[in-house]
Amino acid sequence: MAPYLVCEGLSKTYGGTLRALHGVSLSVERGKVHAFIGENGAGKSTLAKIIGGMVAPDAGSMSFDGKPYAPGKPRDAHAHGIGMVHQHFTLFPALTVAENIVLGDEPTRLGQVDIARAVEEVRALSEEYGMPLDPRRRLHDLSVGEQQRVEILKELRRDVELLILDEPTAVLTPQEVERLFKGIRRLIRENRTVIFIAHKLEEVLAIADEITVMRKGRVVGHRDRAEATKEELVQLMVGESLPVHERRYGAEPGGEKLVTRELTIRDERGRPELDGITLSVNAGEILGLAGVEGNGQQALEQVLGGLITPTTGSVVLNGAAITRASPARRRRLGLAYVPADRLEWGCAPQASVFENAMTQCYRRESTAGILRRRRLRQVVRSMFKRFDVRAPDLDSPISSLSGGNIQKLILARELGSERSERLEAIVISNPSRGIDIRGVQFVHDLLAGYRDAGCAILLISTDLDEILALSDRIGVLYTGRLVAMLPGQGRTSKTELGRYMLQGDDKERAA
Amino acid sequence: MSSLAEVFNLQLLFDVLRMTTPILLLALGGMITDRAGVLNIALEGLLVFGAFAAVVGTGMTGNLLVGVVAALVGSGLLSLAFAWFALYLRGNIFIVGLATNAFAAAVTTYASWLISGREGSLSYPQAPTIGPISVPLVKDAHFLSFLSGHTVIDYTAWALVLVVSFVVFRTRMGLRLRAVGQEPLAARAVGLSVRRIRYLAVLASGLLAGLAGAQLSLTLGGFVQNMSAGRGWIGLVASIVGSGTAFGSAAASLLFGATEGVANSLQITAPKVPAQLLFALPYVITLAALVFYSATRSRKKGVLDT
Repeated sequence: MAPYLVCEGLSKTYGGTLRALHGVSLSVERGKVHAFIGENGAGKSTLAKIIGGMVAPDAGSMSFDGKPYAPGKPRDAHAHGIGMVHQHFTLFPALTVAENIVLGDEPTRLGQVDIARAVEEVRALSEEYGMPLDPRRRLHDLSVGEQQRVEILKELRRDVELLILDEPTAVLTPQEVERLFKGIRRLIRENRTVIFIAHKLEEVLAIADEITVMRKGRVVGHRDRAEATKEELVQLMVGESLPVHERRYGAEPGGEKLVTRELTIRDERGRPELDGITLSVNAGEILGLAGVEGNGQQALEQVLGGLITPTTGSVVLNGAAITRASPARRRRLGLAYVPADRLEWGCAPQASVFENAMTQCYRRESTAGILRRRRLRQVVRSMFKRFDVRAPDLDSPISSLSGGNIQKLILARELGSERSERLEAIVISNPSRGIDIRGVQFVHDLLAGYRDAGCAILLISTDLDEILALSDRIGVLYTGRLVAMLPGQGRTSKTELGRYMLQGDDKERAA
Repeated sequence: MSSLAEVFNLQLLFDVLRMTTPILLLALGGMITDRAGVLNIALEGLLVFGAFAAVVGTGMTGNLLVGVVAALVGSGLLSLAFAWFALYLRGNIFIVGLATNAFAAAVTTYASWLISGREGSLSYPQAPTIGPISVPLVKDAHFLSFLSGHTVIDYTAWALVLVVSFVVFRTRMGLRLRAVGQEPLAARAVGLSVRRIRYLAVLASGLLAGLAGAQLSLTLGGFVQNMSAGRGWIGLVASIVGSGTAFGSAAASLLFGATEGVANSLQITAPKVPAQLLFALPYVITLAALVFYSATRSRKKGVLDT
């Protein structure tokens, strides 16, 4: 079969130094699912953005359907029939599903947007592709999976021939992934083409016809589905074979350390973000909290970290109420907090590596309010050594580090200061999001280590594999409520967890 | 001592409507730019510029229509300059807005002096002023008579509430405007030109502010330094308190107009109250409205909540 989309020698350098792609060449066939896989920073997203017209390459060329293709902006890509669904959705929360889908190409009648027709079009599309959606609902009332359907329908309404999906499964439950795959197969039957970007190999092997593996901005391998094995793909992605880690779960846990009672938080409109969360984390235990993103995780981690105060309810650490305690006081009492959003809450992106690293220990290392810089630098260096933070220059901004190194720096800062011997509890949210396989292993080993040392760990994560790998018990968050508490240590299956995570959908379907 | 009846009479209601007009026009402009994601700090300057241009236009030709057009063109051009600095050159919107206000205040004062040789004011003896329109029927219906006798700009302002509401919430342009204000990056990904839509929004607010300026100076028959008296800011507050709808902005503008009308009326009926205090009333109410608005909006969680 003739190649459909051909890329030749694509290169891209960001900001003069960060080399995202080095001479990438590949071809995609029509009517196939072509997966790009690789670790974070391998260049998959950059490549996808070049194809989607969001980013212009520094060098190289493309052709599409036999003709030269050089999109200057997303609109040019659309004109060729190429559309992209981003990892972070580009939707408008206050608008309805129908308005979101028709925006930019609205049907009108007598100067007004013809909402009735838009609703009809969207209903027809959603039925045709088996993606159920109520066109009149507002986006902010939709689950992440439903929002993704909105994105996909938006592209389909423009008759895309080639659809790029950037990490589409990252935010979905196993059941929603299945539904997405059905949609993808249906597109393939219509002889459309899908580029599927992912880092979960099981999913890639389940849906892709062809697989291109990337590492550090280069294509390092290309396999047909039939000849690909998981082991070989991992080796290609990482560049070496990884030692297999056996999973160690905790021993018999000790007494209650971190307890919440009836925690409730309401937003401005009085709707609960958290609804009566009562849970306790014991010494020497990892309690994993699973759930689709947007079901109260952020409110919970912030209420525990001391960034917000709950509307009602209380938080207790070692028998002492800390509901209204400041973050600094919580830390003195032995509670460490590692937020999910590293750039928003975990560090000051403009400040230097050194300044970010010392924010937990500078008080101790200063005299009469004056920082002992030399001593501080030593402390930071030894901290970095222990936590394997690779920062070539302490004085460059932290945002120049990779996601994995930023995460390690934050962990080092929150867990690794000298007083961490007294750590009583850790609240940690999505610790391995956006970091590579080795980084994930490091983080997981670290958490297991603290658990074995008697720490109580609350692990909030939207990554089911992570939850299953570490948790001694597993709770499920759904619409701000704790809807299930299940045994961990391998005694609960992914599908079962997915069912609880989707509770609401089940009810909707039954209704 | 004044009785309540003396303060609240039909004349007062009439004054309230008159006072509301410029604030209402400004609030509509502020609401449009706010919906597009631009905080329109320059409203005050746009208003001043419009007021000045209206007087010059009318004075030089003796024609009111020319004055109104001059106000629209003047404020429109100034708003485009503001947009160019803020959106194209990416200047800090606060700084650019404040500079626009300072520029408008200074340049109109200087130009007044150049033209008239007097400091701080400009008027043309032969120039006409905008006269009242009496509405048949209404003017004789006792309780509604305060609705009659306003200028064409006053009536236009209220008609514009409907027009703006329709455009923003029912048309294609309006949908795109709201999209751009809400999620500019997403809007760009859809293929909308964020900058173009914002330019248009700022221009619309410039035209509305120009009309407000014309109303101020053409009813008075001249331009006086500081005649805007902070109405640009009050209009901006009204658009915020009006929570992004044309009708909300109109209600908030009415509140501020009423405060101004009552303050004026009290000066006559309650001469013992210091005039300075009464003059301050509209601003105090504005501040109170803003505090009340923010308090009811963000009384949710801790300090760090954004």
